[in-house]
Amino acid sequence: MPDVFTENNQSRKTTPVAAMKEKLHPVTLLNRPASKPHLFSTFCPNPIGVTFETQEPNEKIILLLRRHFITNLRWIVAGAFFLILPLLLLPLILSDDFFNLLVFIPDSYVLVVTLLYYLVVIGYILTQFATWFYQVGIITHERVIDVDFNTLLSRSIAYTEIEGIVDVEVLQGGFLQGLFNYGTVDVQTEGIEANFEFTNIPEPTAVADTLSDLMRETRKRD
Amino acid sequence: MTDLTQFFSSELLLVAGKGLLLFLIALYAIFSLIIFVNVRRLNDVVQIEHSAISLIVQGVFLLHLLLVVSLFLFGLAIL
Repeated sequence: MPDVFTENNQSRKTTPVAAMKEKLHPVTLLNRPASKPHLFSTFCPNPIGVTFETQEPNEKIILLLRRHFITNLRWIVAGAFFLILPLLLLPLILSDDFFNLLVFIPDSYVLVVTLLYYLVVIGYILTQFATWFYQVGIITHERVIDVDFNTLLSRSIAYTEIEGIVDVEVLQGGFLQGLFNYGTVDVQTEGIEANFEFTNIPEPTAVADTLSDLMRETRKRD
Repeated sequence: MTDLTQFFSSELLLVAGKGLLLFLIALYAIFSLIIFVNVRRLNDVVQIEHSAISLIVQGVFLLHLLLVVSLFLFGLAIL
């Protein structure tokens, strides 16, 4: 008798993440579809084509995180203000008192100073964007990685194993955090290891939930 | 006003202004170069395959660096 249905064994996923997916609660991020990160991605579950420096061969990235984009509002407004500032000051510059002063300064000096001013403002905007872009948090099925830096000149990369996490806390408060659903996830590790803090990330509850699930699964496995 | 005119039109002030401006631009060019090198290194920390994102970010920083260097040369020529 011919088989009506045969199971294709090759199509079954056998990766550790796939095995965990079957066991975990449906709300967990592990069950979300894979996504390809774009320039402004802040919350990227199961990212496609993303790797990091110290990734192990079988290590699968579950979540790629950045600060919520709304947290960039401050420097965007500041940058826009500095870009239009010379135009706002134009009436003052063209007023008699200032104009009399400016006529003695050669045009070439005014041109170079103006160009330098705009390049510095553009540099400020680029630096702020890069600080946001490269400051990422990564959750794999084995570790949590936090790439952090205060300026573009210094960076720190912290790693901790999932089994080393003792507690996960979500800190969310304030009007903007409630409106745009972002907050801080505080990951406490055991012993002398430094605690992790993913600040102002989107969907902090889902992130904490995923970490809790991973902790539970790791303890079951051990 | 006459004192002011003499002050701003003095050759010494113009030369000092030129030196100061070029020094500031050179300083900013060095700063931009350091930032660009760091951005290139940071791209190795998290790599996104088959994507133009990293290239775009690096390209913008390189363009900024080139503009600063061009401004230095421009300043050197016209000041």
